[in-house]
Amino acid sequence: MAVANVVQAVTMALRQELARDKNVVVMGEDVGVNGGVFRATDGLQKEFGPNRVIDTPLAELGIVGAAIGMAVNGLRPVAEIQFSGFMYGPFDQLLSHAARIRGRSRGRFTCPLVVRTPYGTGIKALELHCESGESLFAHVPGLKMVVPSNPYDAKGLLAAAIRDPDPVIFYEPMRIYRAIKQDIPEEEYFVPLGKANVIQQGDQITLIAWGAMVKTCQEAIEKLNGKYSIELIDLRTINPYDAETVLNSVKKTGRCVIAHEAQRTCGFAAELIASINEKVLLSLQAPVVRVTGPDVSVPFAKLEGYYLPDVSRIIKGIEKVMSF
Amino acid sequence: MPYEFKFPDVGEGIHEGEIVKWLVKEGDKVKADAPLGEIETDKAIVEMPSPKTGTILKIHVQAGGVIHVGEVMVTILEEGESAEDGKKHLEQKASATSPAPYTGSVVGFVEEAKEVSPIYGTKQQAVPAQQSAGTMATPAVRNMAKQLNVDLNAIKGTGTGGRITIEDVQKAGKGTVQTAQAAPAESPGFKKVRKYDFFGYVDRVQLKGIKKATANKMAESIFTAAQLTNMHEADVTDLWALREKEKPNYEKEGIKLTLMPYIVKAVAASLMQHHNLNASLEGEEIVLKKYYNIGVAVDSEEGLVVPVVKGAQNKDVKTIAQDIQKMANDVQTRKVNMMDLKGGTFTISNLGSVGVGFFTPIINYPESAILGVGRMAEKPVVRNGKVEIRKILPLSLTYDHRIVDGAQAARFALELIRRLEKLDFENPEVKEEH
Repeated sequence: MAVANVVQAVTMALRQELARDKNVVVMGEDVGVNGGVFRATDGLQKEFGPNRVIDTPLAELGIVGAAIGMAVNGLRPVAEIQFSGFMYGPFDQLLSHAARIRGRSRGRFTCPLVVRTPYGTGIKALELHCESGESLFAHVPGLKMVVPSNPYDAKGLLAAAIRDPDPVIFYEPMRIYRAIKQDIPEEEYFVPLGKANVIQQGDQITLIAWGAMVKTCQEAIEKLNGKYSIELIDLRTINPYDAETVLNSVKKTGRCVIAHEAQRTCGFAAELIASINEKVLLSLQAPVVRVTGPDVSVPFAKLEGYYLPDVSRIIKGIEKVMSF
Repeated sequence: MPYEFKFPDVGEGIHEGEIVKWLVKEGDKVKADAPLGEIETDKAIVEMPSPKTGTILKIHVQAGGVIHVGEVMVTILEEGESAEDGKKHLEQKASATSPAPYTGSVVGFVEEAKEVSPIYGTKQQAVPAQQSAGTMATPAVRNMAKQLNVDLNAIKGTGTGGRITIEDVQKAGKGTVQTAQAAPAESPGFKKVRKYDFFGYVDRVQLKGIKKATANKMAESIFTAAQLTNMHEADVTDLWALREKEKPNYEKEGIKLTLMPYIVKAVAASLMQHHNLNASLEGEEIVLKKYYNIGVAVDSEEGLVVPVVKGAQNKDVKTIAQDIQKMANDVQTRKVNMMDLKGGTFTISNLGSVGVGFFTPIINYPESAILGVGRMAEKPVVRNGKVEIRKILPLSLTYDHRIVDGAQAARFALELIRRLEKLDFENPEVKEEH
C-alpha cells in the first residue's frame, strides 16, 4: 500500500502499465524531460526511455492523430493533453477517426487509445483551462468517457482504460488532483469501466455526481448530518454509464438530485433524467433536480465561485426534492 | 533595506516545497551563491543558493516546514546595512503582513490534501436492493393522492404490474372529497417580471382602463370589418371665413368655435342621403340607422374617448358646438356621463390639430365608417384656369367594405365636401317613415 493523491495514482498506473506491456507508450507536451505540467509523468522517461515516454510538439491535433495511427498499428498510446480546453482541436480526430475505426474496419481493427486530460474549474486557472466537456465526448458513439473522483479509482480506472480495446477519454479533475490522499494498493488492480460506485447507501434520495463534484457532494452530506438517508453514486464512467445502478437506486428512493460542473443545457444530467423518466417514472416521487454550472463560458478566476456548484447549492437541490 | 528571499515560481506546476534542512542559522554570514539549505518539491531535493552576500537576519520557515511559492523563506541583511535597519524592517513586516498576491498561472491553485481518506464505497459492492420496488404511480396519480390526502403506501395497486391507478386513489379517498378531481389549489401566484428582454432594458405598463378598452375595440374592429380609406380634399376657404366671422359671437357665449361643429353638422346632413355609412352589420342584416349620432374623438390623458353628439341632424351648429365643448370638458375632468359615450352611429377623428394630413382611421366598430380630419393648409389650386391660394382640408374616409362600396363612400364624401364648400347645412328633404 502507498499513500497517493490523484496525480500520484495516475503516475502509478502509468508506471505499472509501461512496465507490464512494452506496447504501452506515453506521449504529450512536456511529459518526458519535464515530467508533465501537473507532474503526472514525473520520472517515467528516465525509467522507460524516450521511445516509450515521448515529448511531442505543441500540437494537440498531431498528438491525437499520431496516437490513433499508433493504436491501430498495435501500440497502446496514452496521450496527455495538458488541459481539456485543448481537446477541441483533436476532437475531429477523435470523432471522425478514433471512434469509427472499429466500425469502419468491420471489427478487424480497434483503436486502443487513451487520452488523459485535466478538466474542471475551482483552482483559479486561466481561460480555456477550466471547462467540463464530458457530455461532448459522451455524445460520440465509440468513445468511452471516464472521470475518476479519487486516487483509488484513478489508478484502477486508468489501468482498465489502457487495457480497453477502444478509445477512452480519461478526464482528470484538477481541483482534486492533490486534494484527496488515499492509501492505495501498489499491486495491480482494476476498477471496471462502465460500473458506478455506490459510495454511500441510503433509501430516501439518490445523489449522483462524478469527478471533483463527488467531494462537494460528500461535504454536503456531511453538512446535512444525517437529516436524510442519502444514497451517493459516483458515476465513474460517463459513457457507457451504469444505468442499472442508477435506475435501481432511483427506483428504490423515488427522489434524485444530479450535480455536475458542466453547463446545464445538454449536460450529462439531462441524459440521466431522460433515462430515469423512460424507465422508472412510476417510482418518482418528485421531479429530478439538476445542480449544475450556468449556461455561460466558465468565467475568469474571480467569478468562478459563482459558477461552480457548491455545498449550499447541492443542499438546496436536495431540500427542493425532499420537500416536493 | 534587507533582502527578502522568496520561494520562486519554478514552474512545472510546483506550488510548494518542504524545507529539508537549513545549512545556515540566523546571524550567520553568507556569500552569494553559497548554499542556504535544501528544499524538496514534488520533483526533487534541491539546494538553494543564496542570492546575496550578507548576514542571515531571519529564517521564516523551519526545517520540516512547508513553503509556498511567493512566501519569504529567509531575510538577508545585505552588506552595509546595520543591525538597526534589520530590526526596524522586521518590526514593520510584523505589523503589516499581507499575503502574496495572486500572479496567475496556468495550473492555478491546486488544493493539497491534509489527511488520508478511506477508499470510497464498500469493497464488496452491495448489490442495490432488489427489494420492493416501492410504490408505483404516475405523477398524476401521486398528485391526486396528495389532493385527496391518500397515503399511497397503504393502497394495493390494481393496475399493470401492481401500479396504483387513478381509480385506486379515488376509491381510497372516497368520502374525503365530493368531486373526484379536486381542483389544484390556486397558487398564491406571484408574477415573474423581467426588467429587460434579450436586447436591453424595458419598462412594463399594465394595459388597463380606457387604454385596455381601446386596444380590445381596435383589435375587434380591424379583425372584423373590411376597412379601406378614400382620401379627399375640401376647399374650406369660405367656411374658414364664416367661422372667423362667427367666432366673436360665439366667444361672447363662452364657446370656442372651431371647424368641427360645421363638419359634424355637414356629416349628419350628408348621412341622411347615404344611410349605408350610418349603419352596422348584424349577422345577415345591415341595420340602417335613422338617427345621426356623431362621435367626436377626444384625446385625453387616460386615452382616447369618443363623446357622441346625439341627434346631430336636429341640432344647429351652435348647439353642436356647445355639446362638443361641454363633453370634451367633461372628458378632461373625468366627469363625462357614460351615456354621452354611447349610441354613436358615425365617428369623426381629428388629427389636424397635431399636424397630420391624410391618415387611415380605424372604424369605431360596429359603425360602418369614420371620417379623419387632417390639418387645414393653404395650397395653390387651379380655379377657372388660374392658380389661386385656397384653404384646403384633407379628409380621410374609412369605411367597412362589407356594407359600403367605394363609389358609395365617394358619393357621400363629395356630398360632404359640397356642403362644406357651399356652406350648406340644411337637412335634405328625406321622407322619414317614422
